[in-house]
Order: sequence, then structure tokens, then C-alpha cells
Amino acid sequence: MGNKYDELRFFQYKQKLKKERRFITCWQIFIFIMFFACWEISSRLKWIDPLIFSSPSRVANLFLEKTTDGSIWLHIQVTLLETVAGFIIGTIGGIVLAGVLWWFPKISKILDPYLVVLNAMPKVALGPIIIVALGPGYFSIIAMGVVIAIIITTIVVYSAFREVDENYVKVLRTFGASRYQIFKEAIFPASIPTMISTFKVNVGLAWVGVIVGEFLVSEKGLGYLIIYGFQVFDFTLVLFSLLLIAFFAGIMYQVVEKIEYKLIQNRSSR
Amino acid sequence: MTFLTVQHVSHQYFSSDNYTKALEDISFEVSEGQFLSLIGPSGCGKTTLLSIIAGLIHPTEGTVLLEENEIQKQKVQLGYMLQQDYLFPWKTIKENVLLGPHIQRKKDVSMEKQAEELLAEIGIGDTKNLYPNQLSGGMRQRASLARTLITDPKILLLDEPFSALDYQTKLKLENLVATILKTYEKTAILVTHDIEEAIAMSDTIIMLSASPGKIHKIFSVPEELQQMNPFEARQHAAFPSFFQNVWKEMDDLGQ
Repeated sequence: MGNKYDELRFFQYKQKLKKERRFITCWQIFIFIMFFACWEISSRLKWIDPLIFSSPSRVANLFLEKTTDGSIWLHIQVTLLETVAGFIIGTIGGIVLAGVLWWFPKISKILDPYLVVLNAMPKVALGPIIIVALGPGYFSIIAMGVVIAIIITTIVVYSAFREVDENYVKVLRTFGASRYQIFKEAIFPASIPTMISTFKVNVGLAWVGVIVGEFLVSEKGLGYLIIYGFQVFDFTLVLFSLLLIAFFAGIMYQVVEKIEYKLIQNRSSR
Repeated sequence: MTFLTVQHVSHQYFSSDNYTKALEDISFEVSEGQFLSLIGPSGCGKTTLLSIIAGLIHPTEGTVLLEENEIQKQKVQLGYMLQQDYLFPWKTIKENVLLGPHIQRKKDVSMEKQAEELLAEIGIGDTKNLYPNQLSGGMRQRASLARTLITDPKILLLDEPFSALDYQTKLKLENLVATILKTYEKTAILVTHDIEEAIAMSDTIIMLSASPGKIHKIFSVPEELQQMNPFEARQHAAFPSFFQNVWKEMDDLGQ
């Protein structure tokens, strides 16, 4: 153990860290409050058009109203379910496809230009086709989320599979490993960090797909509320839905980050 | 009886607009328990040759025989040690050591016990539950040695396994590997660019010339140096003169 002065300096260092953390949190809270305060004030003083930009107090009133009559829960539930489903199917589907491409290198070479085109194409443009094909409802909305996430996941994860250091494969081959064993023991686990970073991207993409899907067809969900609010010119409803989306998207992102932390605790880079 | 025979091995690498001849007409023999080193300038195809012997690459011409059988047609146990340890970072040291048995579906309680004993024998017994990133470079290369030895390979192929280590660790590991090979009477082929290391460790040294890789000269290490462990050999009176000898050959190659 160090002497008294070392202890003291360590204590001072911890104090400094704490102070810095408090400083950052204070600013974050300050910005949050300032944003809503400015919004409220400028709306009340008619600096901005209250009909278009509404105001926090109106949104809050709407929130109270919608939660007391319970009508909002259904919308939240529907959208969350669609987004989570789109996210999971898109991500897992992408990883499976990447595995198939890795397993059959010839197929991946053949499909390469098609993947490039599919990736470059704005997937939301497929919306009308998906809706006609799958019928207006949950399925086509989930499909929108999936379509947006799956191609980019396939491409990113497949290139991660290919970038795994050949020498890990060499080690396994000297033990006589089969192709499946090589995949299971080296290729897949070595690519986990990349897969997790696609999780994060896919959270955002699944939201885009689902909200756009709801714009196009649905009768429920937060995307539907936005488009409905827009049609009846109730921008309080639009902003209210937007804030809810921001809130839940943020939470999903946090959850994914927690999973990431859990999974890569043991593997700081070489 | 010759243990390992390399017969007229040639190898070409192809690219879309070119090809390179990495090896040309390599032939040599290794007897059981012998320690052979392959040295030569960079680009002489040392690692390619080792991969061919390991059966990882099919040579464009020639054959490799282990105990009279073609190496690619049999499931021989070869131990391959790479320049870096290539321990799997997501597995513990013990899991890493047990990788071979795991792949070959021979992992059981007695294997696990054997792994622990082996780790203890090479001096890192208390790291078995740690992850590779918690170990120093030397300890990791020791773990990698244990991973190679646990499958009880008939022949050990060492691809510059000491070159990424600091000098002191390198000397210690050379000794460890030499002692272990002697105890278990293993045959080994070492690829290195370090002349001193080759002399200190091996019985025979094959020098390759570059582009294409050909056998330039075969040296027999003086008997008295062969008997000693690498560290002692480096101190022996016969060492410097033999070193000069090899060095001069190598230098001529560089011209």
C-alpha cells in the first residue's frame, strides 16, 4: 500500500472524476430543460406557429389524456412489437444469409452484383409491392423492417466472416477440423463484435421500416398516429408520437448496448 | 528408417496476371527424433514448404511421405506452431489447450487432467482459467505450445514461433521446447530466419535460396552442440566458428 500522500492524491483524483461527471450531467439536464422551455415560451409568445409546432404543455396534456383513457398503449404495443420482430428477423436472417454465402463461396461470387444493387436500392420504395403481396397488416409492416435491415446485415457480417484471420483457420485445420467446425470455432465467434455493431444499426433501420410501413397502411401504431395527426392537422399528436418513438428507440438502443457489454467483456482486442 | 521424406516438391502460386514459383525440386529426409531447421532469406518459401509438409497445401509437384505413406491421404497428427500464438481470445487458456481434442471429439476428463498437467509442466499451470489477453507474450506462446503438444503429434512444425518474443523470453522458450522435444522424443522442423536459433536448436540445417526456393546447402550441426540444450550451445566454443560458416553462406546468397 502507498503512503498517506499517495492515498490523498488518489482521493483527489476520484474527486476530480466525480466533479467532471457531475458537470456533464448538469449540462445534459440543462439542455433538456432549455429545449422544452424555449419551445414552450416561443409557442406561447407566438414566435413559432403553435398550430404547427404545438407546445410541450399541449403534448403533456395529450399524454395525460391518452394514458388515462388507455388508448395509447395499444399503439405503442403494436409499434414496439413490429419493430422488435423486424429487428430480430432482419438481424438473424442477415446473419444466416451471411453464413450461407460463407459456406458456398461460389454462390457469393455469383450473387455479388445483385447484393450490391439490392443494397443501393432504397428499400422503402418496395413498400407498395410488399403491401400488395402480403396484404395490409402486421406482416407487411414487419416485412418492411426486415427488408431494410437484412441486406446490409448480410453484407457487413459476410465481410466480417471473410476478414477473420486466416491463421485461426490454419490452427483448426492442423487439428483436422471440418468446415462446420471452422465456422463454429473461429469464424462465428471472431465476428461477434461486428454482429453486435450491426445490431445497433439495425435498431435504427427497423424503426425506419416500421414507421414507413405504418405510414402506408396501418390503422394502429405510432407511425399511424403521425400520419393521422398530419391528415387532420393535429400536430400535437404528431409531436407526441415522435417523442414516444424517440423514447422507445433510445431504450432499444440502450438494451442492445447492454447486451454488447455483456458479450464482449472477455475479449478486449489482441 | 526414414521418418519423413520430402520428394521433388515444387509449388507455384497463381494470380490472374502472373505466377510465382515458390519452391523448386525440394527433396530431403528427416529421421525420427531429429530436429531440422529451415533457414533462408525472406521469400524463399519456408512457410510454404512447412504448410506443404503439414498437408495444408497441395504442392503442384512432388510428394511428402510420413512413415512411407503420403501425408495428404492419411489423418496424421501434426503439431503446427505459428509465429504468433493465435490463441482464441474468447476461450480460456485451458479451453485453448483442449482445442485439438475438442475438434477431434476426444475431449474427456482424462484429457482435461492431461491439459492441466501439461500447463503445469511448462510453467503456466495457474493461468488455466484466464483469458489469453491476460497473459504476457511468452506465456501465451507457452500455452500455444501446450495446445500443439496435447494431441501427441508425431511431428512438430514450428513456424518462427519465437520471433515475436523479446530476447530473454525467446531463450527461455527455446530451452523449454528443446527439452520437451527431447523428453517426448519428438521429431521437429523449425522455420526461422535466425541463424543462431537454428544452430542452437537443431541437428541439421537446410538453407534455402530465394525465388524460386531451392535447397542451397545442408549443414550438419557439430555433434557436441547437438547434445546440449540451446542455451548451453550458444556458450560453447564450437558455436562461433560454425555460426561464421553458416553466416558466410547466407551472406553469399544475399548478393
